[in-house]
Amino acid sequence: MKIIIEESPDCSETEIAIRCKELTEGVIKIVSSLRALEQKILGTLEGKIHILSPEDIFYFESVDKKNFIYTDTEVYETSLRLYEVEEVLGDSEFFRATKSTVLNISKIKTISPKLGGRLDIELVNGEKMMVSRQYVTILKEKLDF
Amino acid sequence: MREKLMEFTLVFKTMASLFFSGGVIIYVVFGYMLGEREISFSLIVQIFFLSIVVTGFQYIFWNEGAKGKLSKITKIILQYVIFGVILFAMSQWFTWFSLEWGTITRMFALYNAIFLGAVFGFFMYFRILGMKFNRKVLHYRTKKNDKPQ
Repeated sequence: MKIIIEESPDCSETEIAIRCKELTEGVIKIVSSLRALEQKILGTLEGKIHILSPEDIFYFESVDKKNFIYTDTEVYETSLRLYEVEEVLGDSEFFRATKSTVLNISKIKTISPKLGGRLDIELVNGEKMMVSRQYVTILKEKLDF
Repeated sequence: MREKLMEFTLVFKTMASLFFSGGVIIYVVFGYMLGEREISFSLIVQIFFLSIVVTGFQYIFWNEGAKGKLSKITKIILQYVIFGVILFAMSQWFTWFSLEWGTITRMFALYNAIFLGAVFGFFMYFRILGMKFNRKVLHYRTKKNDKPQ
Protein backbone atom coordinates (compact mmCIF):
# COMPACT_ATOMS: atom_id res chain seq x y z
CA MET A 1 0.00 0.00 0.00
CA LYS A 2 1.32 3.40 -1.01
CA ILE A 3 0.73 6.46 1.19
CA ILE A 4 1.06 9.85 -0.43
CA ILE A 5 0.83 13.08 1.57
CA GLU A 6 0.41 16.28 -0.39
CA GLU A 7 0.80 19.61 1.36
CA SER A 8 -1.04 22.49 -0.22
CA PRO A 9 -1.52 26.02 1.18
CA ASP A 10 -4.84 26.21 -0.70
CA CYS A 11 -6.31 23.25 1.15
CA SER A 12 -8.90 24.45 3.72
CA GLU A 13 -9.85 21.00 5.08
CA THR A 14 -7.77 17.85 5.36
CA GLU A 15 -8.91 15.45 2.67
CA ILE A 16 -8.18 11.75 2.41
CA ALA A 17 -8.81 10.01 -0.90
CA ILE A 18 -8.37 6.27 -1.23
CA ARG A 19 -7.62 5.01 -4.74
CA CYS A 20 -8.18 1.28 -5.07
CA LYS A 21 -9.14 -1.35 -7.60
CA GLU A 22 -12.19 -2.42 -5.61
CA LEU A 23 -13.73 -1.95 -2.18
CA THR A 24 -12.17 -4.87 -0.29
CA GLU A 25 -12.36 -5.81 3.40
CA GLY A 26 -8.92 -4.25 3.84
CA VAL A 27 -10.03 -0.92 2.38
CA ILE A 28 -13.12 -0.91 4.61
CA LYS A 29 -10.83 -1.53 7.56
CA ILE A 30 -8.73 1.51 6.65
CA VAL A 31 -11.84 3.66 6.36
CA SER A 32 -13.12 2.26 9.69
CA SER A 33 -9.85 3.21 11.38
CA LEU A 34 -9.99 6.72 9.93
CA ARG A 35 -13.62 7.12 10.95
CA ALA A 36 -12.79 5.82 14.42
CA LEU A 37 -10.47 8.81 14.86
CA GLU A 38 -13.52 11.04 14.72
CA GLN A 39 -15.48 8.55 16.82
CA LYS A 40 -17.56 7.27 13.93
CA ILE A 41 -18.12 3.60 13.28
CA LEU A 42 -18.72 1.98 9.92
CA GLY A 43 -21.34 -0.71 9.61
CA THR A 44 -22.50 -2.68 6.59
CA LEU A 45 -26.17 -3.35 6.03
CA GLU A 46 -27.56 -4.99 2.89
CA GLY A 47 -24.33 -4.25 1.01
CA LYS A 48 -24.31 -0.55 1.89
CA ILE A 49 -21.83 1.05 4.23
CA HIS A 50 -23.31 3.29 6.92
CA ILE A 51 -21.56 5.78 9.20
CA LEU A 52 -22.82 5.34 12.74
CA SER A 53 -22.47 7.61 15.73
CA PRO A 54 -21.54 5.83 18.97
CA GLU A 55 -24.57 7.33 20.74
CA ASP A 56 -26.85 5.41 18.35
CA ILE A 57 -25.17 2.08 19.09
CA PHE A 58 -26.65 -0.15 21.79
CA TYR A 59 -23.96 -2.82 21.74
CA PHE A 60 -21.39 -4.73 19.71
CA GLU A 61 -21.52 -8.49 19.52
CA SER A 62 -19.18 -11.11 18.13
CA VAL A 63 -20.88 -14.20 16.71
CA ASP A 64 -18.95 -16.97 14.91
CA LYS A 65 -15.95 -14.69 14.28
CA LYS A 66 -18.21 -12.03 12.74
CA ASN A 67 -18.83 -8.74 14.49
CA PHE A 68 -22.13 -6.94 14.61
CA ILE A 69 -23.39 -3.53 15.69
CA TYR A 70 -26.85 -3.33 17.23
CA THR A 71 -28.79 -0.09 17.12
CA ASP A 72 -32.39 0.37 18.18
CA THR A 73 -33.78 -1.04 14.94
CA GLU A 74 -30.93 -2.38 12.80
CA VAL A 75 -28.08 -4.86 12.96
CA TYR A 76 -24.95 -3.89 11.00
CA GLU A 77 -21.88 -5.95 10.31
CA THR A 78 -18.55 -4.37 11.11
CA SER A 79 -14.94 -5.18 10.38
CA LEU A 80 -13.92 -3.94 13.82
CA ARG A 81 -13.15 -6.67 16.32
CA LEU A 82 -14.28 -6.25 19.90
CA TYR A 83 -10.80 -5.44 21.19
CA GLU A 84 -10.55 -2.74 18.49
CA VAL A 85 -13.94 -1.38 19.57
CA GLU A 86 -12.58 -1.27 23.12
CA GLU A 87 -9.48 0.57 21.90
CA VAL A 88 -11.51 3.10 19.93
CA LEU A 89 -14.48 3.59 22.26
CA GLY A 90 -13.21 2.19 25.55
CA ASP A 91 -12.68 5.68 26.96
CA SER A 92 -16.25 6.66 26.18
CA GLU A 93 -19.48 5.06 27.33
CA PHE A 94 -18.65 1.60 26.01
CA PHE A 95 -17.33 -1.25 28.11
CA ARG A 96 -16.67 -4.98 27.69
CA ALA A 97 -19.64 -6.81 29.24
CA THR A 98 -18.86 -10.41 28.24
CA LYS A 99 -16.29 -12.10 26.04
CA SER A 100 -18.59 -11.53 23.07
CA THR A 101 -20.25 -8.18 23.81
CA VAL A 102 -19.34 -4.53 24.31
CA LEU A 103 -22.19 -2.48 25.76
CA ASN A 104 -23.15 1.18 25.73
CA ILE A 105 -23.77 2.32 29.34
CA SER A 106 -26.09 5.08 28.16
CA LYS A 107 -28.45 2.44 26.76
CA ILE A 108 -28.82 0.59 30.07
CA LYS A 109 -32.26 0.87 31.64
CA THR A 110 -31.86 -1.33 34.71
CA ILE A 111 -29.20 -3.48 36.35
CA SER A 112 -30.03 -6.51 38.52
CA PRO A 113 -27.13 -8.11 40.41
CA LYS A 114 -27.26 -11.90 40.58
CA LEU A 115 -25.79 -14.52 42.85
CA GLY A 116 -22.30 -15.43 41.68
CA GLY A 117 -21.41 -11.85 40.80
CA ARG A 118 -22.89 -11.40 37.33
CA LEU A 119 -25.26 -8.56 36.45
CA ASP A 120 -28.43 -8.87 34.40
CA ILE A 121 -28.99 -5.83 32.21
CA GLU A 122 -32.13 -4.53 30.57
CA LEU A 123 -31.51 -2.07 27.77
CA VAL A 124 -33.80 0.87 27.04
CA ASN A 125 -35.24 -1.05 24.07
CA GLY A 126 -36.16 -3.96 26.36
CA GLU A 127 -33.35 -6.30 25.26
CA LYS A 128 -31.85 -8.46 27.99
CA MET A 129 -28.07 -8.61 28.27
CA MET A 130 -25.60 -9.55 30.97
CA VAL A 131 -22.26 -8.52 32.43
CA SER A 132 -19.98 -11.39 33.41
CA ARG A 133 -18.48 -11.31 36.88
CA GLN A 134 -14.99 -10.67 35.48
CA TYR A 135 -16.10 -7.46 33.73
CA VAL A 136 -18.22 -6.00 36.55
CA THR A 137 -15.19 -4.07 37.87
CA ILE A 138 -14.85 -2.20 34.55
CA LEU A 139 -18.50 -1.13 34.71
CA LYS A 140 -18.13 -0.09 38.34
CA GLU A 141 -15.12 2.08 37.45
CA LYS A 142 -17.04 3.72 34.62
CA LEU A 143 -19.96 4.45 36.93
CA ASP A 144 -17.71 5.72 39.76
CA PHE A 145 -19.22 3.01 41.96
CA MET B 1 -11.17 -24.60 30.13
CA ARG B 2 -8.54 -23.64 32.71
CA GLU B 3 -9.99 -20.11 32.93
CA LYS B 4 -13.48 -21.53 33.47
CA LEU B 5 -12.19 -23.84 36.20
CA MET B 6 -10.41 -20.94 37.92
CA GLU B 7 -13.52 -18.80 37.65
CA PHE B 8 -15.68 -21.61 39.09
CA THR B 9 -13.19 -22.23 41.92
CA LEU B 10 -13.13 -18.55 42.86
CA VAL B 11 -16.92 -18.23 42.95
CA PHE B 12 -17.30 -21.55 44.78
CA LYS B 13 -14.63 -20.69 47.35
CA THR B 14 -16.17 -17.27 48.03
CA MET B 15 -19.64 -18.73 48.45
CA ALA B 16 -18.42 -21.63 50.62
CA SER B 17 -16.49 -19.18 52.85
CA LEU B 18 -19.61 -17.05 53.17
CA PHE B 19 -21.74 -20.05 54.19
CA PHE B 20 -19.05 -21.35 56.54
CA SER B 21 -18.82 -17.98 58.31
CA GLY B 22 -22.62 -17.79 58.39
CA GLY B 23 -22.83 -21.31 59.88
CA VAL B 24 -20.32 -20.51 62.63
CA ILE B 25 -22.02 -17.18 63.46
CA ILE B 26 -25.45 -18.84 63.58
CA TYR B 27 -24.12 -21.53 65.91
CA VAL B 28 -22.39 -18.98 68.16
CA VAL B 29 -25.48 -16.71 68.39
CA PHE B 30 -28.19 -19.37 68.75
CA GLY B 31 -25.94 -21.73 70.71
CA TYR B 32 -25.29 -18.94 73.21
CA MET B 33 -29.02 -18.35 73.52
CA LEU B 34 -29.51 -22.07 74.16
CA GLY B 35 -26.77 -22.19 76.80
CA GLU B 36 -23.77 -23.37 74.74
CA ARG B 37 -20.53 -21.63 75.66
CA GLU B 38 -18.05 -23.38 73.35
CA ILE B 39 -17.77 -24.91 69.89
CA SER B 40 -16.03 -28.25 69.36
CA PHE B 41 -13.49 -28.88 66.61
CA SER B 42 -15.65 -31.70 65.19
CA LEU B 43 -18.59 -29.28 64.88
CA ILE B 44 -16.40 -26.81 62.97
CA VAL B 45 -15.48 -29.64 60.58
CA GLN B 46 -19.17 -30.53 60.22
CA ILE B 47 -20.05 -26.90 59.45
CA PHE B 48 -17.18 -26.82 56.93
CA PHE B 49 -18.52 -29.83 55.00
CA LEU B 50 -22.08 -28.58 55.34
CA SER B 51 -21.06 -25.24 53.81
CA ILE B 52 -19.57 -27.11 50.82
CA VAL B 53 -22.83 -29.05 50.36
CA VAL B 54 -24.91 -25.87 50.68
CA THR B 55 -22.64 -24.06 48.17
CA GLY B 56 -22.99 -27.01 45.78
CA PHE B 57 -26.77 -26.75 45.86
CA GLN B 58 -26.60 -22.97 45.63
CA TYR B 59 -24.43 -23.30 42.54
CA ILE B 60 -26.71 -25.90 40.92
CA PHE B 61 -29.82 -23.80 41.51
CA TRP B 62 -28.58 -20.25 40.97
CA ASN B 63 -25.41 -20.21 38.85
CA GLU B 64 -25.56 -18.17 35.64
CA GLY B 65 -25.11 -21.24 33.46
CA ALA B 66 -28.01 -23.11 35.08
CA LYS B 67 -30.51 -23.62 32.30
CA GLY B 68 -33.28 -25.00 34.52
CA LYS B 69 -36.77 -23.78 33.84
CA LEU B 70 -37.73 -23.72 37.52
CA SER B 71 -39.18 -20.52 38.91
CA LYS B 72 -37.45 -18.71 41.79
CA ILE B 73 -40.15 -19.82 44.25
CA THR B 74 -39.81 -23.48 43.19
CA LYS B 75 -36.04 -23.29 43.59
CA ILE B 76 -36.37 -21.78 47.09
CA ILE B 77 -38.92 -24.44 48.13
CA LEU B 78 -36.69 -27.23 46.74
CA GLN B 79 -33.69 -25.82 48.62
CA TYR B 80 -35.78 -25.53 51.79
CA VAL B 81 -36.79 -29.21 51.60
CA ILE B 82 -33.33 -30.51 50.58
CA PHE B 83 -31.46 -28.51 53.26
CA GLY B 84 -34.08 -29.52 55.83
CA VAL B 85 -33.57 -33.21 55.06
CA ILE B 86 -29.75 -32.88 55.04
CA LEU B 87 -29.70 -30.93 58.30
CA PHE B 88 -32.08 -33.39 59.98
CA ALA B 89 -29.99 -36.35 58.80
CA MET B 90 -26.79 -34.67 60.05
CA SER B 91 -28.39 -33.74 63.34
CA GLN B 92 -29.17 -37.38 64.01
CA TRP B 93 -25.88 -38.74 62.64
CA PHE B 94 -23.81 -36.36 64.76
CA THR B 95 -26.36 -36.28 67.64
CA TRP B 96 -26.83 -32.51 67.66
CA PHE B 97 -30.10 -32.96 69.54
CA SER B 98 -32.38 -35.75 70.78
CA LEU B 99 -35.60 -36.81 69.07
CA GLU B 100 -38.01 -35.30 71.57
CA TRP B 101 -41.12 -33.55 70.38
CA GLY B 102 -40.30 -30.24 72.16
CA THR B 103 -36.71 -30.16 70.84
CA ILE B 104 -37.78 -31.06 67.29
CA THR B 105 -40.38 -28.27 67.33
CA ARG B 106 -37.81 -25.74 68.59
CA MET B 107 -35.21 -26.80 66.02
CA PHE B 108 -37.79 -26.75 63.22
CA ALA B 109 -38.79 -23.21 64.21
CA LEU B 110 -35.11 -22.23 64.33
CA TYR B 111 -34.52 -23.74 60.86
CA ASN B 112 -37.47 -21.80 59.44
CA ALA B 113 -36.30 -18.57 61.03
CA ILE B 114 -32.74 -18.97 59.70
CA PHE B 115 -33.87 -20.05 56.24
CA LEU B 116 -36.34 -17.18 55.92
CA GLY B 117 -33.73 -14.79 57.32
CA ALA B 118 -31.20 -15.97 54.74
CA VAL B 119 -33.70 -15.65 51.85
CA PHE B 120 -34.72 -12.19 53.06
CA GLY B 121 -31.07 -11.22 53.55
CA PHE B 122 -30.10 -12.26 50.01
CA PHE B 123 -33.21 -10.59 48.61
CA MET B 124 -32.49 -7.30 50.37
CA TYR B 125 -28.78 -7.38 49.54
CA PHE B 126 -29.38 -7.79 45.80
CA ARG B 127 -32.24 -5.29 45.84
CA ILE B 128 -30.15 -2.60 47.53
CA LEU B 129 -27.16 -3.35 45.31
CA GLY B 130 -29.41 -3.14 42.23
CA MET B 131 -30.80 0.21 43.42
CA LYS B 132 -27.27 1.52 43.93
CA PHE B 133 -26.28 0.42 40.40
CA ASN B 134 -29.38 1.98 38.87
CA ARG B 135 -28.80 5.26 40.71
CA LYS B 136 -25.26 5.29 39.33
CA VAL B 137 -26.50 4.63 35.77
CA LEU B 138 -29.03 7.45 36.11
CA HIS B 139 -26.32 9.75 37.45
CA TYR B 140 -24.02 8.73 34.55
CA ARG B 141 -26.73 9.50 31.98
CA THR B 142 -27.58 12.85 33.59
CA LYS B 143 -23.90 13.81 33.74
CA LYS B 144 -23.46 12.84 30.09
CA ASN B 145 -26.52 14.80 28.96
CA ASP B 146 -25.35 17.87 30.89
CA LYS B 147 -22.01 17.86 29.08
CA PRO B 148 -21.79 20.44 26.26
CA GLN B 149 -21.69 18.67 22.87
